Amino acid sequence: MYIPTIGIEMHCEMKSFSKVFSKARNTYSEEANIHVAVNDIALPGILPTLNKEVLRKSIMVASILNCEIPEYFFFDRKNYYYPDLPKGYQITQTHSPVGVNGHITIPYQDEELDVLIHDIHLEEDTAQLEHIKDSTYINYNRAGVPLLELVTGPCFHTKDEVVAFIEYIRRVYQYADISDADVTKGQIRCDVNISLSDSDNLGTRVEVKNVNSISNVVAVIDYEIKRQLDLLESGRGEKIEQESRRWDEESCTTKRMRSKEDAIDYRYFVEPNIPKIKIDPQYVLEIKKSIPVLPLERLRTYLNDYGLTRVDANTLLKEKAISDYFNQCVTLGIEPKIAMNWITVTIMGFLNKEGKNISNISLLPEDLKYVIDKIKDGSISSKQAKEAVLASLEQNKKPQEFMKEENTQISDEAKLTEIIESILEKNTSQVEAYHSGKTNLFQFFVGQVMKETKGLANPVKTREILEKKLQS
Amino acid sequence: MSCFTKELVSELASKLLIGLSEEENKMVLDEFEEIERNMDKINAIADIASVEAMTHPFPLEDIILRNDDDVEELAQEDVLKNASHKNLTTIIVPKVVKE
Repeated sequence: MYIPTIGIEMHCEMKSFSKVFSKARNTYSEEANIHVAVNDIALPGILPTLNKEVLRKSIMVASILNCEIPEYFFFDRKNYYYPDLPKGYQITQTHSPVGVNGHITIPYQDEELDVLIHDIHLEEDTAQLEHIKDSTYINYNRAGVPLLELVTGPCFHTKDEVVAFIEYIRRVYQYADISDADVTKGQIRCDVNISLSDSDNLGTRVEVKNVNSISNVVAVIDYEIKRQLDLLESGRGEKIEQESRRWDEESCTTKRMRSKEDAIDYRYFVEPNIPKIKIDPQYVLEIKKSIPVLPLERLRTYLNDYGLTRVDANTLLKEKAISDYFNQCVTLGIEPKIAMNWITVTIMGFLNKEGKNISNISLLPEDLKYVIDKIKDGSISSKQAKEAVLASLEQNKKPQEFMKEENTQISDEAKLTEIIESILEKNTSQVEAYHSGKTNLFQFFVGQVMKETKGLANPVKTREILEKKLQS
Repeated sequence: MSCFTKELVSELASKLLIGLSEEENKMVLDEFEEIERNMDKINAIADIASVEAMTHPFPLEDIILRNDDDVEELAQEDVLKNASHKNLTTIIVPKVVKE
């Protein structure tokens, strides 16, 4: 029985104002070649300079991944000739990556899974090439965008584990503000390494390069396992060859790029134009302290301390802003399950329908607390609360504005008693009929109270008082 | 005996996508021999294995890094200026991938 073993190289474009080694903007643009600096197109005269914020963020990711962080930070040149890199080399890290020998625990189905991190390194992205008919069109906006490449150990055995890992790391990047990790913008790309073995030793590894979506990662794993299994079980003594392949979306197959013998010699050497930088341990410590509470820790709290279901917890964790909003609600004293219901049903329902973000609404956690407290003390009904919250969301105003006194629930016993007594006096024949056995007239009296108060009477108190009055 | 040969120099030159003439190949070989002689001198120093390899020629450590908001871009027309084939926004080269 052959067991698949899978390792992932996950590239992610980082979020920053300017690029990693050049002064051009790091931003997505529909128009080509408008965010380009001198070094992005290899014009002479300007040396590369490392972006401080990108360095900070890369150290943060290495810390999150529990990696060893080197004392000195420096870069290497990966030499190759291609129009997406006019310098003739990519600035990357091979001798001293920002993090090595790490590990991270991720949520996996109803359990947790430990993933080994071989290394994480910082490099520059390349230009975007578009191949149309006989030509290749080059857009240098992406050349020089900071890229983090995370390399796992060969520690996955199923596609579900791989998907859980990529999804979790995406979420971590979003929570720590490292990257938008938007797959639709091509910000995440993976190389997938797959081998099959029927012993304790790993089989021959096949690398499938540049897989640009999570669904394609799944398709690559399915296809490669079947392809390799067919070869191994063909009975023709065929062996898996160590090679690089690519995913062909049209045919839904992997296609050979090059074998081990044809492997490119990148002639790595230390980048001499960027001096080595000593990383102060105190600086690393400060970065570690600034790491926000990450999704796994939040998930554990939601499940174990707040008693939420995994589905509800995951709904809250989809976005950091929503999880932060929920946490603030709980800190203010709202019962977690009540806060979760308001957020996932009413607030997220509105946000999803309108395509809006929770950070742009007027209804702050303290406003939600105010509304919930008003339900608790009987000032408003649940229906009125929901109407006020929806009006607040739709008109981007405070919910208090929709809870004016004339619209609030009547719970005052004396006031309700006065209204009820007046109704009973006006309907003497119905009262007599009730006393002679027509008890279903009780609902008639409730209806009269609601009519009189325009639906604002507290229904529970109304029934209590009515029962008392009709018995006396 | 040098580990560099005429054939090795040709192979390396080919990987770098440059063609060397006979004369240039010999020039490179002579230079490599000189480098090897210097390496031999270094290797002759006692306890050399215990000395940490250097990565940079200058012992600079306190490097001033660039601020994220420090931005300077080229105008699009300047980016396209050196290209012999282009349209309004993009540089065009002969197709670099096979079908």
